[in-house]
Amino acid sequence: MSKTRHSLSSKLSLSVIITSAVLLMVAILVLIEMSSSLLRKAAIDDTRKTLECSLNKLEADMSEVQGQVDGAAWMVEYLRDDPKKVLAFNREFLVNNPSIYGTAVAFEPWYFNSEGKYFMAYSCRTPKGVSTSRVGSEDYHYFSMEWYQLPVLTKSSGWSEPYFDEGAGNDLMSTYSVPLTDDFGQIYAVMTADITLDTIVNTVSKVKPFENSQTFLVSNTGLFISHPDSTKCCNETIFASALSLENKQLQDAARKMMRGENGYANFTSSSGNRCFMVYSHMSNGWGLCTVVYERDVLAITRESNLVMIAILLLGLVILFFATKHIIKRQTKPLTEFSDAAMQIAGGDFSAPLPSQTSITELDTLHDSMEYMMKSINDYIVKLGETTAAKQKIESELQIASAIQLAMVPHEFDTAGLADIFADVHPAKEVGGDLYDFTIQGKNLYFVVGDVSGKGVPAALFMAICCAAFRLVSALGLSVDGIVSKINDICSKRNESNMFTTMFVGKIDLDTLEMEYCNAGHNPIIIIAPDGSARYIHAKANLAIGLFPDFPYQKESIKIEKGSRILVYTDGVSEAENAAKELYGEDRLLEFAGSEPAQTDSRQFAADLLANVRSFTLGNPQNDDITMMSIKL
Amino acid sequence: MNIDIRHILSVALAILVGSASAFSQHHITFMPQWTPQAQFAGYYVALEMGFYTEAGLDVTIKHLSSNSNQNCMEHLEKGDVDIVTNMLIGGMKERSKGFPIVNVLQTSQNTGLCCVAHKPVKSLEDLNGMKIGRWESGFAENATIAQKELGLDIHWVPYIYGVTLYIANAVDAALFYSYNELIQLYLSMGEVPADHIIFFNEYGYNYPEDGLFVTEAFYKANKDDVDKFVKASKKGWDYCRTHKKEALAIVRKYTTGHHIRTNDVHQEMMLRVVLTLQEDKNTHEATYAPVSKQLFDDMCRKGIEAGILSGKVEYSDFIVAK
Repeated sequence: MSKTRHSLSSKLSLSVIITSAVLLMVAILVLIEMSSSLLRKAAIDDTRKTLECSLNKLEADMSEVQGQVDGAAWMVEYLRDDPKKVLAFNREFLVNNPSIYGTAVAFEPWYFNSEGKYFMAYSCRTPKGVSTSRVGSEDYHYFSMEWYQLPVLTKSSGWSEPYFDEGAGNDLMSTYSVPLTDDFGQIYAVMTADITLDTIVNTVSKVKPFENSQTFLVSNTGLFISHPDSTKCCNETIFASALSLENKQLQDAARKMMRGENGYANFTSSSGNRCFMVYSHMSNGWGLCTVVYERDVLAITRESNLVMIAILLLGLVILFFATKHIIKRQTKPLTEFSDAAMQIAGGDFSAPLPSQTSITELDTLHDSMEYMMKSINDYIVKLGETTAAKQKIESELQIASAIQLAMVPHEFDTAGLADIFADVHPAKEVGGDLYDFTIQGKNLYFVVGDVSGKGVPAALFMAICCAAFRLVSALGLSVDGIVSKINDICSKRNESNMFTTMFVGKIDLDTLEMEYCNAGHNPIIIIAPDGSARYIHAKANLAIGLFPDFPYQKESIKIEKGSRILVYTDGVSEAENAAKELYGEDRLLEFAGSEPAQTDSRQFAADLLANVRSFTLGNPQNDDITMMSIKL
Repeated sequence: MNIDIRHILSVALAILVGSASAFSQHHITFMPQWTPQAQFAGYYVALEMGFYTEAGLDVTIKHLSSNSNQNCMEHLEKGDVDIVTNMLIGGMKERSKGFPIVNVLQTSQNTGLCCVAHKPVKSLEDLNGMKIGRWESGFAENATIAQKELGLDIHWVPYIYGVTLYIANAVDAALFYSYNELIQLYLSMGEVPADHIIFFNEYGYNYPEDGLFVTEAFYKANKDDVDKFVKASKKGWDYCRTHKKEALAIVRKYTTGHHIRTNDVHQEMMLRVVLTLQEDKNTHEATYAPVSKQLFDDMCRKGIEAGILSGKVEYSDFIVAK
C-alpha cells in the first residue's frame, strides 16, 4: 500500500492547526464552563431574590388577614358573656373584611351552659350575602378539628393545612386560627378566618424567573398547595413526587426543604436535564420552591458560544493557509537544493546551489552540499587515477598469466608410451602451481608442485622451479638427486623465504618401476586396473627452498600395467564449498575409484574438475587447482 | 394494565349470564370502615374483576362520607349495608355492647399500629406522661389495652386524621398505622427516624385487625351468600398480591371517583404494607385464618379490663370464619 505523500508546508501547517485547535478548544471549553458557572450562580441568586420577593408578597397577603383577625380578637373578651353578641360580632367582622371568606368564633365545650356542649358562631359569604349561624353538634364536633386543635394545643395562632371547601365553590382554602385566652391565660375559644388561596396560587404561578421554570408552594406537611399540574394540589407531597420520579437528588433536596432549610440543590431531571431547585420558607412554615432548567439559564450564552466557535474555526482556516504560505516561502530553497541534488546525481557537479538565506539550517545545508560536491569531485579524480593504475596492473597480470601458462606443457604427446594429461587452474590471474613432464629414453619424468603463497611472488618462484626441473631432469639423475638439485637452486637467494612442495616421479616405461620423491607434497593416488584406488604415502621430505643440501630420499614402487597415477595439489583436496566444508582426500579417493578404467587422462582430469566444481557449487576458488593423470 | 384475556371472557360471560338472570343474583351491600384506599384493594378488585359476579352475587360497595361522623357499624346496625370491614377488636366491642354481629373473615393477621414520638422511644413505658394523638373515631383499642395493662399515664388528644398535629409539634407523639399515617409522615418529611417509632406488635399486642363482619341474623339467613362473598374477597386479595399494578389502578379508580386526596405513591406503599400484615409472621403467607381462641380470649379479657368491651364475647358465637 503506498503512503500518501504531502508537502512539508501542508504537513507542518496541519500540525500547527491541530495543536492550535486543541489548545483553543480547551481554552474555549474552560471559558464556557467558567461563564456557565458564573451564570448558574447568578441565576441561583436571581431565583432566590425572586422567591424572596414572592414570599414577601405572599406574607403581605396573609399578614393582612392575620392582622384583621388579631386586631379584632380582643373584642370577643367583652362579648363572651352573651352568645348573641358573639354571633353579631362574628357577622360584623366578616362584613367589614371582604378579603375573608368565612369566620368563626368557636368556644370550648360547655362554655355557655345555656347553649350546651357546642357553641360556634360561623359566618360565611353566600350568593345571597353574608350568612351567620350557630354550628357545632355531635355530628360536627369541632374540638377534634385541626383548625381548633392546633391553636389550643400549641397556644399560638397559625394557618391550617390547605383544604378544598365544597361550600366555598370547591376553592382551595386555609384557615387562620387564633386562640382566645382569659385573664388567667386559659383558652376559652378560637377565632378563625378562612381565605381562599386563589390569589396566593395565582401569585405563585407567576413566579417564573426563567422560561420553563416551575414554582411550587408546599404546606407544612409537604403537600403541594400550588403546582403547575393542578391534580397534584392537596394530593401529593413534594417528597412523594420525588419518590415517584425515583430521583435521589430531588429526594435529598425535598428532605432538606421539609427540615425547614432554605437553600438550593442541584439535580438531574428524569428527562436528563440538569436543574437546580431554590427553596425558601414563609413565616408560617409553608415552603416556596422554584425549579430552574440550566438550559434556560445558559440559553443566552448559546448564541455567543456558537459565534465564538465559528470565529475559532474561521481563524483556524486562515491560520492554516497563512502558515502554509509562510512555510512554503521559507522552505523554497529546499526545492532548489533538491533540484541541485538531482543534477549532482546526474553527474553535474557544477550545478548551482541556492544563494545564502537568512535561515541558519538552510545555510548549513548549503555549506554541506558545497563541501559534498567538492569532496565527490576530488574522489572522482582519485578514482580515475586508481582505476587507470589498476587497469594497467590487470593488463600486466594478464600478460604474466599467459607467460606462466606457457611455462607448463600443453601438449601431451608421448608417442604412445603413456597417456598423460595435466591442467592448472590458478585462483588469481597468476598462480603458484606447476606441473611438467619429460621423456628421457625409456623413462618418464614428471613433477607437480605448489608454491607457498599466491599471486605474483608465487608465480615467479614457480617459474624458477619449472625452469629448474627442466634443466635438472635432463641430467639423468635419480629423483632424489633431481629434487636436491632443484632445492639447491631455489634455496639460493631466496630472500623471501618462499618454498614449494613438489612431487617428482620417474617411471621406467618398460618395467613400470616408479621412483619418486615427495618434497612435502600431497600423497599421490594410484588406481589399479580393477578400479581400486589408494594413496601412496611417501617419506616425509621437506618442502623445496627452505634448507639447501637437505638430504631428500626417494622411494620406488612397481606399477601394474593399466594403472593410473593421479598427482594433484591441495587446491583439489582442500576445495571449499559455501558451508566451509572441504572436498577432502576421502571424496577424492572415492572419485578416483569410481572413474571407468578406460577413461583417458584428459577426460579423467575434466571429470575430476567437474566433480570438484559440483562440490564447491560456485563458491569462489581460494587456491590454485592442479592435477596430473598418468595412465600406463 | 395486564389483564388475562381468559379472565375478561369469563367476566363478560358472567355479566351476560348475570344480565340474563339478574333476578336470580343475590344483592349484597358492602361497606369498608374508611374512605376508599388501598387498605380495601381486595374488595375493589373482586368487584371490578367480576369475582363477585362469578360467585352469583350482585355486590355494591358503599363508602362512608368523608364529612360524616358515622362509622360503618352504625350503617350495619341500621341495615344500610350487609357486610362491613372493621378491626377485630372493634367488632368484639360492638358484640359486647349487644350488637349481634359475627366475624366471617379475618384478612389481617397482624397489627400495623405504631406510635411515633418526637424523641427516641425504646419501650411502651417510654410513652408514659406523653400527650399522644389518636383517632377520634376509634382504631386505637390496642393502645388503650396496652396503656391499661402497663398503667401508663397518657394524655390522649383526639384528632380526625392526618399527621398535621404531629408535624406541628402539637403533641409529643401520635398513634399511626404503618399502612397509612406512617407512610403519610414519611411522604411529608422524607424521613422518619427508626428509633422514634414503636410498633405494638413487638410488645405482645399483635392483635389481628381488619376482618369482615355481618349481623348474626343476616349470616343465618344468607350463609351461602356470605360464604361466596368471603371466597370471592379472598380471591380479590390473592389477585392483588400477584397483580399489584393492576390492583392499584383499580384503587385509583375508587379514590378518584370519591375525590380522595391521595397519590399513587401513598397507595402503592399502603397496599404493600397491608398485604404484609395479612401474612402469617412465620410462613409469610396470607392464610386468612380466623383468630385463635387463645388470642381471642386474651383480647377479650384485656379488652374488658381496659373498659373497651362491655362484657365477655364468646368465641364460638362470634367467630364463624373458617
